[in-house]
Amino acid sequence: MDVSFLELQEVCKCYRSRRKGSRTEAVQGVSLSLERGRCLGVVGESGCGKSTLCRMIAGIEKPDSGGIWLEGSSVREKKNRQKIQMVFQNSLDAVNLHLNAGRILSEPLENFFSMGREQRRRETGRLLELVGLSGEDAGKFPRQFSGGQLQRVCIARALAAKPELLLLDEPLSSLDVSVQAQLLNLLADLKREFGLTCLLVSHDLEAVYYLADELAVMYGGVLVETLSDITALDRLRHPYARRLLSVHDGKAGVERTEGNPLPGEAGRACVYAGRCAKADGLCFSERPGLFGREAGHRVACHYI
Amino acid sequence: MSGMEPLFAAKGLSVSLRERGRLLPVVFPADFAVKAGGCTGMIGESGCGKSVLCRAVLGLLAGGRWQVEGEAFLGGERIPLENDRGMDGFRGRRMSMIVQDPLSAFDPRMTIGAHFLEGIGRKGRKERYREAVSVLSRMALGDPEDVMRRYAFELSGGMLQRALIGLSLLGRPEFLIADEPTTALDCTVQEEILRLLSELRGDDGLSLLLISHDLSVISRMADTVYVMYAGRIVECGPMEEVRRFPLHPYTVGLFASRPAFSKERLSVMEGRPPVLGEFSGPGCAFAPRCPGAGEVCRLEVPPFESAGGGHLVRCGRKEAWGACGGGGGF
Repeated sequence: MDVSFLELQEVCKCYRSRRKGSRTEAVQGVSLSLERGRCLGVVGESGCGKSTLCRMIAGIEKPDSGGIWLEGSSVREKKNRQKIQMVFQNSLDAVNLHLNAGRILSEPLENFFSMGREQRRRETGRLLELVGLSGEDAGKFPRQFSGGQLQRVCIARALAAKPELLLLDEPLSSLDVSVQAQLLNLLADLKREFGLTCLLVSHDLEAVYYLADELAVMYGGVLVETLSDITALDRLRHPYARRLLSVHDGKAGVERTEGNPLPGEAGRACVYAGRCAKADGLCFSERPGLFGREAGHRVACHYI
Repeated sequence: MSGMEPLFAAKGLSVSLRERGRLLPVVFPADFAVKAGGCTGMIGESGCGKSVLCRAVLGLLAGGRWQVEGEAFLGGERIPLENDRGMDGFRGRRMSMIVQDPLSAFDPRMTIGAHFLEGIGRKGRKERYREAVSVLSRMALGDPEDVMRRYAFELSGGMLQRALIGLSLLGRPEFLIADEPTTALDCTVQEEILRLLSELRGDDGLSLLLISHDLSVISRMADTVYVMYAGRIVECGPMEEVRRFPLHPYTVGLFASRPAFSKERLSVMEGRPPVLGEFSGPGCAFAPRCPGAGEVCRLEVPPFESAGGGHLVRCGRKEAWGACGGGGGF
């Protein structure tokens, strides 16, 4: 079998709180693969482990078990640092506020390509223009940019390393609607132009639909449904995925119990059982695996 | 509702900021109203002055570098915006506010319960505790007593927003200002918070001023909508009317820039809203971004013109109404 571009196998991550002695199973056995040039959208609510997944792929967090490989080599190997770049949700937290945009962009250029000063200056100018800013913005400090502009700087910084895999962790939330639209178009252009492989993590299904080719729905640290063709959204079958869809139709069904998911607490039960309207004894005693329903479509539910 | 006085009305309410000896206009004189038991939506992008307007209405901008002019009325009574003492009878008691980021609304060193007990005041501890529990139990938070023992950082965003709504309702206000109440929340949680707000509206007759940049939130909740751009209301009218026939090029562009399960390229408004003090020229502040802007737009600020049925538009080029961007509505 050929090696996929990005391959995750049974990745688990558990956070332990020393003070309370509690365990939070943030990611519980996620397996997926992504081919080069494709864009995978991961949707799910906060706390479902999508950011943790993203950080593990970036090599920032180490999985407790399981493995993540980029073209056959572990993402935590040093040579992959340049190949995987990430754009974070809160751009103000993601940059050093005391450096101007030029120096923010210079850092990867210096580290990965050992560019000289003059070359860096040219390159930062080019990068800024690539993301729709002007070369003169290089002298501005993060606080002098608007949220959307700073997110553009962050995208430029990620692109500066000439990555092969771009991880976008909620890049659009906290931005204005019209700015979101501009960035969505920018990301779509960059993706086409550089043939980037992307992983877009978002809670905004509509934005994911616009940008991504494939979809993965996450709940409570588990992938509950994957779809290799995002345009076939109406094929979604998992009760949680259906609910996500229905929120956008404005016809949200009522969940059985309110409250937040408690990842890991349910033990062997289906992660969604506590909120699922269809759940019965089987759902609480056995967690369904992610099985193929048809080509390119996997669902983890006993009753589909 | 015709003939009825609105519960809340702002008349020529404007806010300016004193900076280096000059006055920067932040919100230009604005008239808006909220019907009793109604929900008025205000859409605008960040920096357009909507949050400042909220603060002005609550009298939180009195003194200092802010200058608030104009008047606001609640239930026919003038709100003493300039008088901090006078506001005591209004703030928290008759009108209240919830904010976008509930985590920053709570003191990290106090439990949720302590916030509630402080908010009730002037009663015995047991009585205050009972009251707090009864308010919290309406917020569908699970076990209210458990929530009271927790600190803000221990709760999820959705739970915290519920707690904040509970806190804001302690004084039984009739008017609630919700400043981007669901922006930081997941869409399923957003759904639940909006449902909670709708319930409170139905059960308690709470009137809402809902501020958001999210068109879907506003169009679901509001009966009347105001669209703000660079400190000015540029379009207002009944929600259905504005949603189906947006007229101002900015409103049209705003509606068209939301992806709606399509892969077609989004029609984008170029540029960004002007930041404070950036736009100083005469004329319409949207003109630099407006695809249909003509000479007339750069000369003077267009006045409101009626499009019938209470639908007002501040755009000087009638022929451009509803025409730019990518088709109407969403």
